[in-house]
Amino acid sequence: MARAIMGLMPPRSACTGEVRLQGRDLFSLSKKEKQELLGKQIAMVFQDPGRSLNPVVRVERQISEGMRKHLGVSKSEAHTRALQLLNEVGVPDPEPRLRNYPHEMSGGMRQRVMLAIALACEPVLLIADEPTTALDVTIQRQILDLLRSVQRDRGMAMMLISHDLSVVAGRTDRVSVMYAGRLSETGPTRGVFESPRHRYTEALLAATPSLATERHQRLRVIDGSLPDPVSPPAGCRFAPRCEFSTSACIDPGPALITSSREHQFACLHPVESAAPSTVAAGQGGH
Amino acid sequence: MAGSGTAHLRDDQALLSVKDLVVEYPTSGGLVQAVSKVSFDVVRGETLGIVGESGCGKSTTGRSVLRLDRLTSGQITFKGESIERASEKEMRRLRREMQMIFQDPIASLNPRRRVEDIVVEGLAVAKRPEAERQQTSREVLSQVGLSGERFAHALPRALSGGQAQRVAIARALALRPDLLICDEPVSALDVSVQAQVLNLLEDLKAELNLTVIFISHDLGVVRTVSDRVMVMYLGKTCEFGEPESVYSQPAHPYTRALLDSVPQADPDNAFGGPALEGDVPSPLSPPSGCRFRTRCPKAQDRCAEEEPLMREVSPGQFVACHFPLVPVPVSLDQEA
Repeated sequence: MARAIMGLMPPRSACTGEVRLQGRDLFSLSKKEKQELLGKQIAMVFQDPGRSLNPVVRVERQISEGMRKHLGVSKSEAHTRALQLLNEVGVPDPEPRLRNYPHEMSGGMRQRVMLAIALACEPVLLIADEPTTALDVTIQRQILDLLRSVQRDRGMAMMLISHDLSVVAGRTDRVSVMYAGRLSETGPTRGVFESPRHRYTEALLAATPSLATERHQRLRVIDGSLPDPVSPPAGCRFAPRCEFSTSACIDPGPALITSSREHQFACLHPVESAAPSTVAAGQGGH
Repeated sequence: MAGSGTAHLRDDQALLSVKDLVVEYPTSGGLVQAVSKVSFDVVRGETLGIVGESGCGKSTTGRSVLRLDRLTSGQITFKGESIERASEKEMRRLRREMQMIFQDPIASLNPRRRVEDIVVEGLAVAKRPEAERQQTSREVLSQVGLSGERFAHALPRALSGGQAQRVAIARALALRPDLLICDEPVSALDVSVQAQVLNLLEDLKAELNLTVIFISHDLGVVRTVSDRVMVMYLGKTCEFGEPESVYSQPAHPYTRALLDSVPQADPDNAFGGPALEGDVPSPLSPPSGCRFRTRCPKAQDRCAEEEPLMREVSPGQFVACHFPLVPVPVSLDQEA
């Protein structure tokens, strides 16, 4: 989905619908208008910083490339700004770092450089696609803290994409849970984690071992595996794996229901609101 | 942390005992000591979880037990037999009793062989008769929940990640091992499938009375499966103990930092404590003394000069740190 917003889908893929950024529909823009917008107003941070940076170009040029093109700043100004950016993303000793190639840096440092590149043109929206999946837990923590503080300081919007529920929990204001290409549940982060309504969200939370899980405790299992994306099941795509599914889940299938406070979910047999068991499953341990 | 020492060993009852293990790899930049004087033991029937970040030597430690890498020094004893001194021929016999499961389930299966043959390849190497192989093949596949024609004749590419990992488990079980070494067995799997494989491993462990070494970077997973936990950092041991004490009262500052860095599925309390600064130092030139001192909030001069040794801080909980986070009982402080 994030790639579709950024216009990064392969040409043969079909995108329909509407993506509006500050009132402008991104899909109906001309190629030139898109170039003006993408990378400048919307920037993206990818999963694997080792492979998404250009390995044969020094850090300085990778950071200033976008600024020079989109903002038309001079070479010396770009240099100053690149230094400021590296400072902002917490790269120690930024001056020599500018002359480094990506392979000379650790994964955490590379991800900081990626973020500096993304921030170079002062985007209004930052899309972070699994920004910490390739990183170790202590480094992941540093990057998550950094993303949150940069987002708050700049008043920028951020989309944080992750397979890890707990990464999302502490870092976001709103959360959307997707399954097999469909939206299952969306709402304020607190509401979704404290009281998940969709059966998939609930099962996912219960299947994740946390620091509080007891020794040799059996984990709740979601039977089966993800459906084939070529021929997804009719109706609710989670129905074949869901223990609560009935024939109505397949036909007509669920529509998005609005419960309280902007909390929406697409489930015909939702979890009772604020079920205490699900809260316990998601709580931290120490 | 990041120390040495053998105070935490329980020699007499151990199925596997590793003492002062050192493994070095030559690289273009020089000699890397991936594992540096690590000691641990595993008692029959228990699961030892080894946890740490990339480059801490946890996988190398697991591979060393099977002698898949050349050992530089140290002693490994399995059922009273010395692994480091065994001949290649003896190792082939010993490895049948110690099987390993790897991280990438698809890549660890031969892409051109059928599942029913893959799982009993070890028996073929052991020159067991065809009839026994077929029988075992059916048995182990049904034990991991993949019974029936469909899976027996499948090639690995037709399997999902979770199914492939089940095949890898079946292959390990076919030799009826005593010790199962699982190196990040669920890291490549989705959360929902991960739970299935973890439950399966727990069931099999109980059913077959297996002893397990479970290597993972995921602290939540390790907590769930382990009877003992060993925390490693940059080739050294930091802490060893039962998961309840290590997780609720970590004695090593690194264990504390690791736990505090794990995101919690709780919007109000995403992290347990402050973040750790800096990066893991290069293993080519590790810090002197305690290897964690460059990132440690409690580091003092002594940490740079003297390597901490493992010592007991509470019954069954051992830590290699000069300034542990829990008080050290006076009677136990003599080794420090």
